[in-house]
Amino acid sequence: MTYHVPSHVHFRVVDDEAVIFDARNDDCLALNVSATTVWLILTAGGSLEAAIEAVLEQFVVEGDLARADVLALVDQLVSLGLLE
Amino acid sequence: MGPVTEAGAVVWRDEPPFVFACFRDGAATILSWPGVRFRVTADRVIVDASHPAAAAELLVPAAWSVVLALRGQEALHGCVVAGERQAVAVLGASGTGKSTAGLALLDRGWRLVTDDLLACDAGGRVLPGPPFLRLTPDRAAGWAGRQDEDGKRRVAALACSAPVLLTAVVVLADEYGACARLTGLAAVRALLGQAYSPLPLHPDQPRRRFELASGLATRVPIYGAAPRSLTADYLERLVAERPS
Repeated sequence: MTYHVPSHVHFRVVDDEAVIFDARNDDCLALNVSATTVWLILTAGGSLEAAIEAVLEQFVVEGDLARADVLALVDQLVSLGLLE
Repeated sequence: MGPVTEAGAVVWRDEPPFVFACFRDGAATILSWPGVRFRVTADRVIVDASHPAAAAELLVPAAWSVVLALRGQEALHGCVVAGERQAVAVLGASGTGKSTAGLALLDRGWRLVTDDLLACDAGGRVLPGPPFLRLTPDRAAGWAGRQDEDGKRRVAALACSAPVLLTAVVVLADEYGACARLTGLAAVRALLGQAYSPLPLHPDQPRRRFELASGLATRVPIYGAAPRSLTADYLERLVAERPS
């Protein structure tokens, strides 16, 4: 499954954080380093599996935990309307 | 000049007794003060004024900021001064000490780039503005200058004629204590809070403001400091440090 960024969402990586701007409410939030890794892969058209793989490669985390964390992150981003 | 009448949708109105109001009339944006009205499009400003002196003072930066916005270019509220190889922007609401901090560096031979309206060209360089600062009379003590309609003194300054690249930005606000580096989301939010005008002039404006703030935060170190806390010594040390 792939995701894309809705038209009301804009982002830029600033000091290793993905700063995400939601034009619907004029507000920003930031993702930490590992979440930014996931965000950049998904928004570039990468798959969920590729994002999980990247987290396992770049961070000290067990496989099941990485998968659960990535899925939870994506669920949250989708529920906030920041990913579709 | 006839009475001010509402033409089209009201974009902004100050609290009564209102001084300033902004209306949209087709493709034009109307800026209205007692005795002064500007009809602004992306390529023209039509002035209708029974108070020419006030109109001249409001033309830049008020009307100019709207022209820029209609051309797709956002601006920040700040004072920018340039040294030999550095340029620092001090941003903040009115009364936080932006121009005073700029004046302290001008007193040391720095040059004024712009006071009040900070706009950048396509390369991210700050565009020169009018060659004067506007200071309250107590802050302008010892400096010659004409008093404008708002009671502030216009102090002429040695000015830059070419755009400059910033080497540091300081945002003055009550939420900050001692001057400290802001990064990531904190830096972007600090800059977003310094958008020049609250007028919602274009549906794409929020995105453009985010692009301006986040782009600046990736290129230049951003600091937060308490209002009226900056000295010339401190600013010179700050731009000399230039953290990576």
